[in-house]
Amino acid sequence: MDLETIYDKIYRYVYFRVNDRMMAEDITQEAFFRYLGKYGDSGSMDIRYMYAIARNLCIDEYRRIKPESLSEEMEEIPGDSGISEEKMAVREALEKLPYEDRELLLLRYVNEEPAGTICKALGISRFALYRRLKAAEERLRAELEA
Amino acid sequence: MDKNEFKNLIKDAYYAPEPEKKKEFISRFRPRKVSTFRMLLQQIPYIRPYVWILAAAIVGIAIAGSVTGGEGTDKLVALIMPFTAAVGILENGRSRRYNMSELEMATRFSLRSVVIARMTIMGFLSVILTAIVSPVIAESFGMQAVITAETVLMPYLMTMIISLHIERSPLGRENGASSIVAAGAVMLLFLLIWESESGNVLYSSFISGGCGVAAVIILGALTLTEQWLTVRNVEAFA
Repeated sequence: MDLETIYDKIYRYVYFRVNDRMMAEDITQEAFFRYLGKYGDSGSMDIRYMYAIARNLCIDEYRRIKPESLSEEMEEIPGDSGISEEKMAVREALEKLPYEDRELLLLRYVNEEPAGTICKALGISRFALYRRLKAAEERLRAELEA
Repeated sequence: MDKNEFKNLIKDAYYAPEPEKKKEFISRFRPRKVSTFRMLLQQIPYIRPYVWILAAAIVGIAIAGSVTGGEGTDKLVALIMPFTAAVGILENGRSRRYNMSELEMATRFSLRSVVIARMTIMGFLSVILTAIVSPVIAESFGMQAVITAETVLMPYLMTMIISLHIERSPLGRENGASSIVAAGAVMLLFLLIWESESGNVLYSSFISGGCGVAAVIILGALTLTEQWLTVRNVEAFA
C-alpha cells in the first residue's frame, strides 16, 4: 500500500473521529511520525498499527477537547445542495447508529479494510467483528426502512 | 437494495474534506531504513565533548603511568572510572530530562530508542576503555590483565548501579548532578579501602581469590537490570 493511500485512509478515519480537518491532518501526520518512531522503517508500513496509533492519538485529543458531534459536521458539507434523497437518508440513518457501528462501517466499507486489519486496529476477535458488522448493517438497514 | 449499492451509499455518506497538507507532507516524508549501527553513529555527535575528553584522559593516564612506571596507576584509573559512568548517566539524563533537545531526531526515533542508543554508546566506550587500559597497565606492572580489569570495572559498575537507581527516583530526576555525587562516593569508598592497610590486604585477597570475577559478573548483571529498569521508565515518545 502506498503512502498516499495510507494517508487518505488514516486521515478519513481520524476525520470521522475528530470532525475537524486541521486537527485530522495534524493527527494523521503525527501518527506517521509515531509509527516510524515505534516500528522504524522496514520499507512498508503496516496500516493496522497506524490505525491503532491514530486511534490512541484521537483519544488523547478527546481528553483535551470535547468533540463536536458528527451530525453537526454532516449538515455543513459544502456543495451538498444537489445531494440525492437516498444519500441524505443514509447519512441521517448513520447518525442514529451507535458510534462503534459507524466506526466499523467506515473501516469496512469506506476504507475497505480486510477483517484482519480491523480486528487488529480495534483489538477485537474476528468472530466479534463479523457479529458486530452484521448487527451494524442490520441496524442501518432498519433505520433506512423506518 | 443489493449489497454493492448498500456499500456505495455508505461510502458516499462518510464525507471528509480533502486534506490540504497531504502532498506537502508526503513529499517531505521520505522514510528511509536506518540501521541500528547507523542510528548509533548518528547519536555520537550529540554526546557532549567532556565525555570523550574524560575517556581520552583515562587512556592518557594509563599510558603515561605505564611509561613512567608510576606506582598505583591501575588504582588511579579505577578511581577515575566512576566519573566515566557518571558522565554517561548525565548524558542519558540529559536526553530524558529535556525530552531530547535534538528535535530533528524526535521525528525519526522514539525517546526510548535514543536513550538506549546512548546507553549502548557509553557501554561500548567503557568496554573499549577497559580493553585498552587493563592490558597496558597489566603489561607494564607485571599484573594479570583480568585482575586489572576487575579493579578498573568494579568502581565503574558500582557507580552505574547507584547512579541509575538514583536517576529513577524523584531526587535524581530533579538533580542532574546526582550521578557525580555517586561517583565521588564510590571513589571515596575505594580510596579508603586501598589507603587502609587492612582494607588493602582484604581487597587483594578478595580479588586474587577469584571472587573478583564473580563480583564483576554480579555487578554487571545488576547494571544491566538497572539499565533495563531505566529504559522501561522512559516514555516511548518525548
